Amino acid sequence: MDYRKIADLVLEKAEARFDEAEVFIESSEALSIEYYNRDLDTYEISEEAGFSITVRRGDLWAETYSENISEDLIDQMLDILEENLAVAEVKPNKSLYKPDANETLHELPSKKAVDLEPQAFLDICRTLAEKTLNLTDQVRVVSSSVSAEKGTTLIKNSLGLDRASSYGYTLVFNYVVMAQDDVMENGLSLRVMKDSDDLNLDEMAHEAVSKAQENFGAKSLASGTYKVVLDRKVVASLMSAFASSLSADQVQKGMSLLQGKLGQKIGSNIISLKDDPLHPEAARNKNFDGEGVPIKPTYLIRDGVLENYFYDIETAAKAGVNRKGNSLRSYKGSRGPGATCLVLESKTETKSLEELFRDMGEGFYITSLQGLHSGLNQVSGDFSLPAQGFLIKDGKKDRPVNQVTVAGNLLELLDHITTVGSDADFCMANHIMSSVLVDKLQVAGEEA
Amino acid sequence: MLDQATVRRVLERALSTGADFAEIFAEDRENTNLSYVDNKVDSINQGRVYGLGLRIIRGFEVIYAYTSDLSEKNLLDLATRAGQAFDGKAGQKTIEFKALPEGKLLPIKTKPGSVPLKQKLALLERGYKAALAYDAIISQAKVDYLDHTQHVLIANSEGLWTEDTRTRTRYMVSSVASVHDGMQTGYYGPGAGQGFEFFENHDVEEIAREASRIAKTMAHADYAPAGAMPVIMDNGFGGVLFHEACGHGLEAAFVSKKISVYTDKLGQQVASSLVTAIDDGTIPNGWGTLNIDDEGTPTQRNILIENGVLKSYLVDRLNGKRMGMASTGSSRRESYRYAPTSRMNNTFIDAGTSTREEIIKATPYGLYAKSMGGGSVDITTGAFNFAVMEGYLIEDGKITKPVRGASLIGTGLEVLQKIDMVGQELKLGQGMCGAGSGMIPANVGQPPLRISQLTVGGH
Repeated sequence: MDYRKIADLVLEKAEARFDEAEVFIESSEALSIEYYNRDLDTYEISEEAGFSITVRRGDLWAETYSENISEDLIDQMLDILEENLAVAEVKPNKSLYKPDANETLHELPSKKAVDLEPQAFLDICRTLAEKTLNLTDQVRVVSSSVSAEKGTTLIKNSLGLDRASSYGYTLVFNYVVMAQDDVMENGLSLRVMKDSDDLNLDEMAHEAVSKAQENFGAKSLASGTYKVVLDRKVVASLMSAFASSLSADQVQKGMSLLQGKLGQKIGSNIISLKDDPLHPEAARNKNFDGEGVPIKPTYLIRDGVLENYFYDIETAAKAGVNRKGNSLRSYKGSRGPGATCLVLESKTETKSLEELFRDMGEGFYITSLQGLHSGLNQVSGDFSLPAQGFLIKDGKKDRPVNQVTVAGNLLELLDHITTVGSDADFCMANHIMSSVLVDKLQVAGEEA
Repeated sequence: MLDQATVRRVLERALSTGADFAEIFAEDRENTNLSYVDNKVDSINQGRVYGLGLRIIRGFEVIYAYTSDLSEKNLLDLATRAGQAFDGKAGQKTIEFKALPEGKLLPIKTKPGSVPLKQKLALLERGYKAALAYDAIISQAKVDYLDHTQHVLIANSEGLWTEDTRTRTRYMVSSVASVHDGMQTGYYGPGAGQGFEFFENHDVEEIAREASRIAKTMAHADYAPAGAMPVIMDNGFGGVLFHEACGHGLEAAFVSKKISVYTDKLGQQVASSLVTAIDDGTIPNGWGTLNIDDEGTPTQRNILIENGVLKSYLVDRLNGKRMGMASTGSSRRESYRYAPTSRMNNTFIDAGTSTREEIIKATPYGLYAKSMGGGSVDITTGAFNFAVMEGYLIEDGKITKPVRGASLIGTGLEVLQKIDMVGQELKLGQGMCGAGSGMIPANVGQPPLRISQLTVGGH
């Protein structure tokens, strides 16, 4: 489909009826394949596309979207916008982005989905599943999958903005469920595939199996206050949740625990948190945001002090700060400022996971937290979450732990980080995170 | 959306490389989402979801392909690409469609599309004002309204041709109470498989006051005690307990792969004999009700557990074939973007004989979970957790004080065995359930009930 032609037509028709207009089109194609044990379980081909029209009349704004991209529907959508404008609230801080005359965008790291025939992806999945099954007869289930996606974004408006970008990435997962004496445990390995021959399938098979295996025999811990090491995956999921509190939109609506804390110390003075959409290790990079504003890396926390919220055009205007290019947007109308690729930095020397254990001496190494969507209160920062991991004794893994909950407050947790790990790597949700050592956290388990 | 001749050509193309089954799910859905924050309209979001999912099956191998371009040329091309995963030949097969009659479980009085936006927004303003007026401690509220109307066409190579329209309406309020040491939230969000007539029997001010009441109560609460103790869960959304602790484990997607703890347990005692649990896709105008499931099978009332004995799983066609069982009308998907799989509709523990007062009185010490937040479960281990939104301490058979920050953790099999009192007053609560085939509206429910011992994670 010729999206540029649609965009031009939409703009032409919308500009005839409203003061200004913007069209935003996203499209993507993906192939996902999954082997479940020795059988092909998922083979999915997808083509997605949708567009939104945003219009302004005076200080009033309206927006609508459709996945049915046909010329016939445009007039009907403009009628919907007309009805919306009749009931819209004045938005004095909202505007479309007008690019500066000689504005340039940062060069993006070159990245695309690995371009292989479906048969090659099938072979990867089958081989990975086979290698995993052959490692031990404790494997009850293995699910080996590849997901290759590419897409484009196009944004064009009445103020001369006309930007397009494309992205692509390929992810490989190996998930295993193992059984021992009627107890089941699971393990996962994950890689961003960069080209056709950079995958070490033996390593991925081993990693998933050993992660599941080392959980056997897990039991609870005595309740009490512990030193803990949070694995980088855990830090990534906590930071994903924390990122919504960093949204200027949440702050301005009085729904963030970081309200009024700009310029204040909110965490340990050794940590800095940066959003770096240009990071070469991220699966997906961006050089302009959902509103077309150029992106540059931004510090949210520097040396423990809250330096920035995430801003889009409207929240930046309301706060009276420069545009930051943090708008996250989908054609479906959801938009707001947020994180693209969070990176944790340390003022002091980072240490390997083994060194973190040694520094901790005795404590709890947390490898997974469940229930973040329900057990973490975004507004207060309070959390109470089931955790799994390992008891660390004399600086070494002693035994696996489950059936405990950890409780505290996100800001207290940030304040108690004493060391950042040197194991920074790509984690889910596109963040590049490191493990951290925290000097105290409440653990509820067995009665002491 | 599509005519029979086009669909026949697409299905025949999909079968041309040896598949034994092909199915299309076409969808045209109008969404309206409105939100009101800070005494003004925050967003008006209207749009159209549109596309088609094509599923091709050979034995147990499944190819799924979807697109939002429904031109015949593109659909045939998609069917060709999907079919390339197989390497066989087409069997001799002519598809003759036989249309199913229209379902009657989701009758609508007032189509949401016929109601002016202005009238919908007025409801939001009323709810917002009521939430703030409840108490000076309420500093902010967010009121959301949503309606959607989904038209689906499901047709398959066995000649099924069925269309359905699903309309749903929901109204949600989150209130924030501010106190010196931070903020607490309260939430209430009822919904139904109805049009705008939903508001004839739902008072928006009442919904708003309920959210504010919870926020205010929690603002004055101490942290919940941690440890193992009896837990009384109240009715309505308390049913999330069964949903997480057991319901997901009964889905054929997990049972057929033998990764659910409920695998091979039909006919066995899996719960206390006080527990009878039902999944009923046929409750008229229910939040999780469907005339036909997303494979076109009419929904039904499924008794899952009867007096503690496991009677049935939740079965879709494909996993049913793996297990040698018929579909229970439980196949669902969020949209054309997802292949369907076994899911819940309206799932609840049936009413028992005790009164709420009797249950509380019989409990010397414990936690009373009056309303619940969301939860999750690890299917392989059955380990679940969920957050208590509004909790109270019970001492000497009486509710003594509100407590916050509690989460409940345990495993499904264990908690169901430990249900030792079941109340009379069954009530359903509305939720969105996220799993393999996306986010779907589902009712949870139960009467008030007691679990003799459960681990409470607190501070």
